[in-house]
Amino acid sequence: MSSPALKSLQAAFDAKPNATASQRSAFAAFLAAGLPTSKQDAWKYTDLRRFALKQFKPANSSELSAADSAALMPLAQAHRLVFVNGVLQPNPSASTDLKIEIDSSGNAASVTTPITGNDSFGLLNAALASEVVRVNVADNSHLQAPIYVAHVWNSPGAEMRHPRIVLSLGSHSNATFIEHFVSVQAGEAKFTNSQLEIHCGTGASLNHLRVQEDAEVNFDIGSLNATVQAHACYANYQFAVGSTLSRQSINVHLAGNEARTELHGLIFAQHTQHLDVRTCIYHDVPNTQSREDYRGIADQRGRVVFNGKVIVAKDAQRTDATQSSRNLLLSPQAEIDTRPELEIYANDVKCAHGATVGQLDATALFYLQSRGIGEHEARSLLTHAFAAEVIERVPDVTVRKRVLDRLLQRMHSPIISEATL
Amino acid sequence: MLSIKDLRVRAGDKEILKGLSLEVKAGEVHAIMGPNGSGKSTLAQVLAGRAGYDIVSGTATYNGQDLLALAPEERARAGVFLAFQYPVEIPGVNNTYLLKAALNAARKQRGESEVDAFEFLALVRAKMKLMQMDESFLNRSVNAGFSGGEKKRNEILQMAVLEPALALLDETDSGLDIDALQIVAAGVNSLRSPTRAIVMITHYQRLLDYIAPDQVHVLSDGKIIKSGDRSLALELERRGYDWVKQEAAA
Repeated sequence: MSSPALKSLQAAFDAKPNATASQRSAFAAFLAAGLPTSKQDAWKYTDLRRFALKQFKPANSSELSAADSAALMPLAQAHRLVFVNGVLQPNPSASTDLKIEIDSSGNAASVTTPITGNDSFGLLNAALASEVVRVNVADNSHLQAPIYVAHVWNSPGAEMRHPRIVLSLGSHSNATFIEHFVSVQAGEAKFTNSQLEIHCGTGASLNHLRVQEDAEVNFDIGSLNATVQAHACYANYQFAVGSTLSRQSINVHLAGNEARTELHGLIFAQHTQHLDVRTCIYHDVPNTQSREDYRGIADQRGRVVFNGKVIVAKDAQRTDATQSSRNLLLSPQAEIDTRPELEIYANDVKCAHGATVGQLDATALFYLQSRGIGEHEARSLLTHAFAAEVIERVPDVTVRKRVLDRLLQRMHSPIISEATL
Repeated sequence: MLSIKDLRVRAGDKEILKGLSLEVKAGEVHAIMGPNGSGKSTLAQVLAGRAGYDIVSGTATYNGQDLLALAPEERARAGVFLAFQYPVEIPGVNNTYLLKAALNAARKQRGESEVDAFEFLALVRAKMKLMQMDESFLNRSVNAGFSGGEKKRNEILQMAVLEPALALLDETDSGLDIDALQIVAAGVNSLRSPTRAIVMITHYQRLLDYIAPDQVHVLSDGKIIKSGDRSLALELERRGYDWVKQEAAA
């Protein structure tokens, strides 16, 4: 007895021309695993029944009109890879320091991330991805302009896409990578199932900015696997405000001496949004460092789920890890589930974690009101102040502004833009 | 300007103000003194509109309006200002922004246009000079990381910028050293005017050495039990509160 979603996925796979053996086996494994259920611990707080009732068809390409392009980030200079309804637009801007390869062989085995038998969405992506896009930053190069990957929906139909991207930074290179999920029009519920793989070579440094502001009817599932070699640094800044149901898994492997990662995040769910972020940092070797700061805000009937795990391997001595999850409930119907987890198998480590869920400070609200600020504005100001600490760290002014604008829009508050002078 | 009649206020099951009456006219400075727990801070909070108190009976009118029926922000826009005993730290909300938003809210209420950016800065700089505050304060978050004295000075700075008609100072002198006290007092004195009333709530006489009140009231167990001129404060300092209580009980 298969759900409407599974039926439509089967139909999409059957209609796929020239499926390779590895795609076939991935799809068979997907069917065997089925959609995750809340009985599985990793999906305890995220119920996919809403998703299972929907049907999706393979996306059709479309051109981006000039008006639609306004949805893109107005970056002055960028190496652009724009996907419209799942299809990469021609002429991505490469350079001598930046090579872009598009592998349409359908050979999922060429992607180095192992897909395990119970990773349903990873298997589904391997089966249905139409290509693997590889972006390579040359050794020792310092990319001035950011790499901008935009995933745009501009079709009205119930479509799906399965982007698969591998970004590799050569040794001692550095770059900024901006990933952007946006809809030009809402239309019917769509489904994004993305897989992203990142390699930071020795001494490399990557700032990864991810803005997910997809339409509030869409489903967004995705996994990111990053490997960080010796003396390399991988920093991730994630802003999840879009889609009706989203689930992002971030796995970072600190694989070399003095490898370092920073994960910063803001998740803001309102209306009936369900936004789930799951991070796992693996301290695989000695002398590695991780810093994590996630903030969640839930308003109306919105729900935020955060699961942050840190795993320190047996030999990973002198690991230094801190994790903080702070959350703000703005309405009695909203829900936030946060779960920090530490698994430590080494004995000489410095690990700290903390999680809080609270409401706006009533005394601070009264203080602002007593200065003539209306209650709605006072609430917006305090909410903004809570979120701004994360936004202010974003190392790109265009992205920072975009995220701030979204935040203000969400709070229906025109006055706050001045608040951070 | 402010007329409080037989005000009874409860917090939870406990009655804190038990029939308090007070008349304050424009141009006057009143001091409300009293022992700890007499209801001084409750009075300030209730007048500013803090939630969590039940008005059992009585009235408080401000320029003919029912003050207790207004939201806290409406009271502020109408010219009521409370200098907090414990000013709140608000990380992420900029000081200058708050000052400007507060000033514009009051101007809007009066039917005036928003303050011009240059005019505003000039105004704030002048008032900061009066309060001997450093320019760097403009870029800081509201009270975040301020010392006790800086917080109190910031309260009076806000008051100086907003120029309220009715200023309520709740223990503004507590925690100030003598230098800071003089600066704060100079700030308050600069605002004395025939159109403005100031109500100071204080535990100690010390503040009144610098800001001379027209009237002094003793608040005890939720009621004003004695009123007088400045000499009453000096007598309280000398003799404590017990004699007033005994006199009132007699």
